[in-house]
Amino acid sequence: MSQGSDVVVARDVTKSFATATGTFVALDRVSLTVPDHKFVSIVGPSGCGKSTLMQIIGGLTAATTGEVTVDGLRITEPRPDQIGIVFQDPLLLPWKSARDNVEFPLALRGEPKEKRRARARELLAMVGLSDFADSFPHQLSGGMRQRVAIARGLVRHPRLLLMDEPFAALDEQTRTRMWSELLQIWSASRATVLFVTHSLVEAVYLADEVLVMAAKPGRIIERLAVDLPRPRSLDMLGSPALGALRNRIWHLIAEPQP
Amino acid sequence: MTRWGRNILIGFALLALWELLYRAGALNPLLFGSPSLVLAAALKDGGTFLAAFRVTGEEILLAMAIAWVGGILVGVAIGASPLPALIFAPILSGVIALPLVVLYPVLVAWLGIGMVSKIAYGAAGGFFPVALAALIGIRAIDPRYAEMARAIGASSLQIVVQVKMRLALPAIVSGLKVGTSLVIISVIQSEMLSATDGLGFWISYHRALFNTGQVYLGIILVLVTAAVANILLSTLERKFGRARVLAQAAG
Repeated sequence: MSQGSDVVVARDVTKSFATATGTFVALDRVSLTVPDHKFVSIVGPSGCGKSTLMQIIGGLTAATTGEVTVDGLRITEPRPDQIGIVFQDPLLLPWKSARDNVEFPLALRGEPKEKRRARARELLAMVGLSDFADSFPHQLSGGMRQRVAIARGLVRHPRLLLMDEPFAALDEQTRTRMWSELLQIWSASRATVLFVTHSLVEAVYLADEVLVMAAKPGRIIERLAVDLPRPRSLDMLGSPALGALRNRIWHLIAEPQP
Repeated sequence: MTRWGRNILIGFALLALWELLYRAGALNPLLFGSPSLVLAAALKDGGTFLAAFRVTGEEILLAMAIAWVGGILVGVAIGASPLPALIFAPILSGVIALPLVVLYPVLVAWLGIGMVSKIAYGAAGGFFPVALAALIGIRAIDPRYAEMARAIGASSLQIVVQVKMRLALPAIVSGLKVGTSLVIISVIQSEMLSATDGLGFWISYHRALFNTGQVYLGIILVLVTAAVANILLSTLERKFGRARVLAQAAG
């Protein structure tokens, strides 16, 4: 592991695309660290490159310049043993049951059935879906599907779980319930979470630290510590501390940056 | 009464009407035949037709196997490759629009008048729609599924076989249905043009001799073959068509 206890270390990550009108800089020399076992949110306006940053940290897209290490390993391709990824949509395979979807990453690696089954059982219990192991995706609610996707992301014991707006497609109530679920899963799994969202409340409520991004070019403009106590409870959503942080981020995003 | 019972009853009523019109002298037997003529033909030449049915069936099954396997392999390979589908899709759909029958005499010259030229011609007829459907089906998949598969550690081959092909299955099965119909059409057509055996050959043969009963017997056997194939493939299509709807619901 590099730099003490940081799971993710990104140094001067730049991503630019050639367009008809010139070069578009999606990310401009972004550097960040994510400490071990922490929950870090990334929040920013649309077009700030937060999803691109996730793609680069996850090894799905190459940075133009700069480098990312996860668990001390330089990331140039997906590393399912180090990094689990949860996308905005669950992207479950519709012909596979919840259990088979969770097992799929292990099946791809040719692990024996017994081992796969045991691990899937463990994870389905962790996300509270033990009774739905044999259900197919279309038989599950949106929130349940996303929990299956989280279990799939964790099945290979990654140090880091990347979550790219995982609750954006859910309704308000389900989303709020998922916050509590996710925090429980996070503490049970001992994984480090890097969580992208455009919801300021979500970013603050879940995280130990919030990275605030700005657009044009995409960059990190602030790093804020969230000093709400753990475990979090939904009562804190109305607390002055959370409100103050939320407003601070809102001003950072709303006011033009120099 | 069940739907089947009703359909069978309607079928018998139509046969009776056909026979009645023939008996009454309202139908020219040379043009329209009659159920009794078909029955007589079946009693006289049933053995020949059964043997022909076997020949045609073998040709269809072999041509189908080639069209299915070849079409899926080529369609999926092009669909999953980074090569632009814009180049291949118009070629494949263009070939489907060509009257391939003009190539049949060439095939006979190369492969002889026996079964091989029928199998080749039938396979060629079925290959293109299967390949095109597979290509379009693979290309139509939400690319985020492939990204998810990459993220969980799937290799390129695993992504194609275990994710993309399964997601494209409804489109592929629809292609198989169209392709199979074209295989059957092409095989019968080629037998009617130049052959030494097969249902198409015997239909042509008896038509030349004005044996209307035999001609209709052959036609009925061809229709039954096509209907059975269609029913089987429609069942398959319904099964995987439902899978597609569920996939959409699962987001």
